[in-house]
Amino acid sequence: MDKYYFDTCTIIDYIDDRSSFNKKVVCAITQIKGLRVFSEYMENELKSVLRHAEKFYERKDIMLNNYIKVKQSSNIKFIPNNNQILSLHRFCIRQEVRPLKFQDMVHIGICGLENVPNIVSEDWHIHGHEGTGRPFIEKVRNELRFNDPRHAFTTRSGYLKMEV
Amino acid sequence: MPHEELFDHLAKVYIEQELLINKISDGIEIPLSKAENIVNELIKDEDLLKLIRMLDRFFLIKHYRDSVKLIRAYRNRLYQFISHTIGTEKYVSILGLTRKELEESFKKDVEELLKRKEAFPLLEAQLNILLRWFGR
Repeated sequence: MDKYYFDTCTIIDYIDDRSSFNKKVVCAITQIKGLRVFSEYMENELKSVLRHAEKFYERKDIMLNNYIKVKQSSNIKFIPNNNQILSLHRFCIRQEVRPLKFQDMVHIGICGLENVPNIVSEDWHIHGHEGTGRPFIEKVRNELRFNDPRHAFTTRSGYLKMEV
Repeated sequence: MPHEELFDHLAKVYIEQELLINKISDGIEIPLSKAENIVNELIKDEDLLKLIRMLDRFFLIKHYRDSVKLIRAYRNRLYQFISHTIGTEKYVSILGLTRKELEESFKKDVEELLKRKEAFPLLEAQLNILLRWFGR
């Protein structure tokens, strides 16, 4: 069974029924035939954004409840913040990638560590490049010796499009 | 605790309360707002709560509606905050704590901070400078 890791911004559009992208993102995600993978790292980021974004100030509890329903109703693999992931976070932050994208590297790194071949993200630049044009994920891949996930992203046009 | 370490100690308490709220809230029986109240109850002290609320203003994400931009803005602030205060190593060690360990560490750090209440006006002044510097 194929595995799909969910980035935080995708989850936000997925659970926010007031988002202009919600219907299309939901539609794209229903096309996923495989195991959905969430992580404590993503969940922590999600909760913090719900608490600090003015946009969600009055709806943070409803939004989190929506997320928990998704988490409980789907076939989910949940990855806790274990030592490997903490080391990955430490490693990525030391890379000092510009622009600031180390958390994206962590999310992609989680895929690598857990052998999840796909990442679903709203951010087309999750694979961002250095000034030299070299994808910064190469730094993590070379160092940690794992396979780069094929990048699946919801195009916000209602279907799941594969990239990379 | 020397005064120069006091701001970093406040930052550590702030990061711990953030992660503790996230760990306590389960989205069903304990929504985020209830978890916030639980952690506020652990702090109790109004002066310290005032400093925490000031730091909340640093993290407040206004104007952005797009989820990608919201995430980027939050990550950017967290990175700025951590790199200028407790540092990556300390943050990672807090990130790896269990709820029980985190709660114990948080209570201990709050207690230590409250022993230096006479320095709170200075911390408040430092926070005001920080907020003005970042236009918040």
